[in-house]
Amino acid sequence: MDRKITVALAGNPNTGKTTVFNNLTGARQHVGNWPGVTVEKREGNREHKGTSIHVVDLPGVYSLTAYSLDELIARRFILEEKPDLVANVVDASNLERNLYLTTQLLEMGIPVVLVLNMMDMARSRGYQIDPEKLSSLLGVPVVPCVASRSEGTAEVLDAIVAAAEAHRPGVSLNYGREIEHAVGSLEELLRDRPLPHRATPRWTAIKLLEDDEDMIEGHEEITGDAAVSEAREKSLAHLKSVYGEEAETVIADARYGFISGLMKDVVRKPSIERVTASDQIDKIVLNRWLGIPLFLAVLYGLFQVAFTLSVPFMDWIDAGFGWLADQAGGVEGWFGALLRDGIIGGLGSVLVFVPVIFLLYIALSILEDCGYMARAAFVMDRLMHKIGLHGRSFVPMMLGFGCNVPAIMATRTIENPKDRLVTILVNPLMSCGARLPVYALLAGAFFTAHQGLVVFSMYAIGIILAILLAWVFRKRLVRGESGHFVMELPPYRMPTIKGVAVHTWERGRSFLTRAGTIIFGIVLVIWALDYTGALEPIGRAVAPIFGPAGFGQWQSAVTLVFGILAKEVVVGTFGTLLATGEAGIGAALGSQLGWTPLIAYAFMVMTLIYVPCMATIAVTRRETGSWKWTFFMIGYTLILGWLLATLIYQIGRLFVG
Amino acid sequence: MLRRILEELRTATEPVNLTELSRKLDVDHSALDGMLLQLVRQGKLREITAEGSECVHCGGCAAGRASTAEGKVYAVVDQGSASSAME
Repeated sequence: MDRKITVALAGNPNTGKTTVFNNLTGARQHVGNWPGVTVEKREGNREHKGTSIHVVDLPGVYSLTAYSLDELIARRFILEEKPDLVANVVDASNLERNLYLTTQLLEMGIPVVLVLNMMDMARSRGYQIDPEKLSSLLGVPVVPCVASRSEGTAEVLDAIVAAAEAHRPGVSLNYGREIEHAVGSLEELLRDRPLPHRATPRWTAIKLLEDDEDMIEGHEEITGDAAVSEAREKSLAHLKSVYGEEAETVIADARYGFISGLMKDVVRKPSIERVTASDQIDKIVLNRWLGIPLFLAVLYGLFQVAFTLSVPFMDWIDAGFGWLADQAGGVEGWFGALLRDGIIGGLGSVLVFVPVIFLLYIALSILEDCGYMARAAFVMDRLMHKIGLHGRSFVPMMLGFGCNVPAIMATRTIENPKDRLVTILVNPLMSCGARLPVYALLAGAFFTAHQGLVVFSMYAIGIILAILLAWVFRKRLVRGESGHFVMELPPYRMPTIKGVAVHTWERGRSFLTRAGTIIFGIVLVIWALDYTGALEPIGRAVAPIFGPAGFGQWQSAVTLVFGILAKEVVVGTFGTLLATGEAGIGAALGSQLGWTPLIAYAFMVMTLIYVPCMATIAVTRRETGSWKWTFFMIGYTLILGWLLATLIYQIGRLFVG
Repeated sequence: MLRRILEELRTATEPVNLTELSRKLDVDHSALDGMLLQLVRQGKLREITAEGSECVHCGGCAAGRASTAEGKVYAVVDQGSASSAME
């Protein structure tokens, strides 16, 4: 063995780099850590044609900037350890993306062998790659291979040995006149100075212009030099004035321009790009005119299915609580009342809706896992964008369907304070999961044949109001520019039973936990207040306000007042206050409070809109840092809820008496 | 190409679908993904996540998270922040 060389294996993640490493080194591997960090370092050895090759597997990286530890490790190894060459593994089926790292390796002035892996995949996609032409344009050897089938390993080894012997770097990228001039001036200044990591002056100059964090902050000997610093500042200002962007963007742009040119020369793709099934479905789902009606139809179908299928399960649970109430019938005194009215009546009335909530979560999980919800968010946001709401508002708005508290916290991602404020203010109108038991109770009792449609209408009213008010607030309260965004839509796929089960349980568990803790606690307090006679005066004092909306009974008023603590409490409170008996709360609302379907609908609208729950109020105060806007939210939701409920009741009475 | 992406996004009148953008710019989907990552690193774009929110297992993520966890969302970073509206 007369010659020893060191080869650094570099490449993007998921390019089959580890397989190439295994093929090159066989069983002769050593695994340790990179000095000072817990990032795995794999090394191996191979003898080939009289040369002992030491292969070091660098962390998988997309580029050699200073943004991540992996990138710093990779580039410091190349600069400081000076391997004889870098074997750059690229995925031939994703060449355009992978070559970005290649351009950065070429900039470092080190010999490179390009390992064109996954050629089988590229061929299956109909790509015809010309390795010889690629080699001549890059100035480095290019070796096609299929590492997963150990094809091309000998050729890679041959190229490594030959390239190490020739020790010739590849082409030097040209960044265009202005950048090259700036690089040249800095290079001149750096030429006689000791450079960090034993780098070349050209590479160091490029890094200085790129505002490379590691270079700028870590190397005072360079950045502290007045001449270098002055030349750099001057160049950066000049480039910004010429291009309108930072030099960093212009340099990266030049690399992509070089790659784009390469691709045109060396890769032939099928003349007609394959149109995937996802693309076909998206033509309908994302259609400008069909997208929103389709989303509303899906939402309607979701409620219809959940409410229809849950009926027998709800009946079983109801019967179970009925049986328990019968058993508790013989218990005398306050404890008997607590058991019957507080625990069984209050908590039972909430738990009976577990089936409908779980079925809804199953349906939502299926829509999420198959990739539809991302599309729904996209078409909804297109609408929101038209009314001037910031592109980033849609994530909090969608989160609001679950719970307004994390949704309002998620507005932190919105940089523009005006957009953020509008998104916070309208968020409670997105109907959260806690309001669902109220809708389910009243729709089940008063709209048996159209439960799904009625609940769907609540969500639709919420969405429409949120969009309308966001538009009003943007126009009247907080004016400003709205932003733009780009969204990647995941491909459609078949949901798995496990995935749907896990997602459903994650969500359903929250409902059960809340019912067993917060809701249970509040319902017990309400029972105690009722038992001691303290509740009725509160209800009677407030009730007249709700008279014009049709639900001016003291019990209804009490449920709305305590519903501010948590919306599910509305149902629990009805369960505690009404003598429900065999027929349940729905029937008791009709017989004891004189409710009609019209009153029930007005009450549902009130529950949807009026004052958000305490947790939402608290998080609004915290996130806005303002009592003014918190009280504004409480005030406008209360007035709007009352107005709409009253309008529905009063106008409805003209038609249904 | 990076400057063209920024230009497309800054002049867009509505949200942009990555697949459509890749067709319009005649760039591989995966290459465009890499370019967006570059722009995020350079502070020109920002990846939108549900960060800041604490998971309460409320189910809202079916809509909110689905659109950010798998399909990435990037927003153009505002040039010059607006004055505070929360006063």
